[in-house]
Amino acid sequence: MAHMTESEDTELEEFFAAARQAEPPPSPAFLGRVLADAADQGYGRAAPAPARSDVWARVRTALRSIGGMPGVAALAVCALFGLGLGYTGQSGLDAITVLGQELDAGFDDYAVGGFDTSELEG
Amino acid sequence: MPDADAATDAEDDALIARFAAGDQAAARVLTARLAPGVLALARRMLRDAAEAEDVAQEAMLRLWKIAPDWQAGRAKPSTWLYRVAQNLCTDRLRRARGTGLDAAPEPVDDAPGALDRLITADRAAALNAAMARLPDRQRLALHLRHFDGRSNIEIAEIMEVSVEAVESLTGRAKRALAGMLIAKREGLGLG
Repeated sequence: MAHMTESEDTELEEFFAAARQAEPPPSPAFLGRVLADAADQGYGRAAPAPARSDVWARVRTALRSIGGMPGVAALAVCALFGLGLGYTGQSGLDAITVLGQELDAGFDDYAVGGFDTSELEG
Repeated sequence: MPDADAATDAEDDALIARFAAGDQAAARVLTARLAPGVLALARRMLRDAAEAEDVAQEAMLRLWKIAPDWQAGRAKPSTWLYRVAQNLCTDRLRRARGTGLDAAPEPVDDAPGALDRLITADRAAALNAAMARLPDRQRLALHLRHFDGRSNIEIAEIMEVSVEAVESLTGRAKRALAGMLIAKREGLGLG
């Protein structure tokens, strides 16, 4: 196809200019939808604090993982037993300490009586 | 104006970063700067106002979604956006042709009427009708050049072709338009 002449080019440009002027602007409804999409992304929005019901849900989940209320009861009994053992263990420890001291004294008697130190003297 | 273009791109990059940080005012500025051009491109390609709005909204949505990962200086925001819109338009045109909804090669129905409107000097309508008869890629290249004011280099980036291919597309498109509009105008005694 032959090249366009300068006058054809100029004339065509007049058509383009007319069409550019006639270009309708975007409708407010369209722009509103675009901006709504932007807002929906939620960038920069702080993560919401967990609701109270969420906290209880987490507690319930944790309890369920240890066997529910029977599990909690068993855990409580074990804890009380441990505390009791702690108190009674204190007196038991004293008895062991006294016994240890007695044994220690007996060993001293044996050591003194067993050796005749006069044989070592010149 | 390469410096002005570079400044505009840098501004768009900064606006995208601000939007990703939660600044909705930045989204409003980006919408005002970019959405009209994307919408005009989609209108030109699809020739259906509602479909064009859907495509332009989808293209802008993709920009919103990619904003947190946007790498400033890598791609020009407007070029990236126009490429997305072009691909969305191409998909819709292919689907429409594939389902036979737009089986006719070009919408010639309104062309004679629009061309006749040259009598009342309605050049805009005549040009739009004539452009609708161009092949998709010629129409896109011509739109980007004469309606969006893009350089051949930018058009090549958007269409992912060489600059020579862009020159060829716009050259053929303009000759076809001249054949449809100017010859008809002279035939109507308006030359």
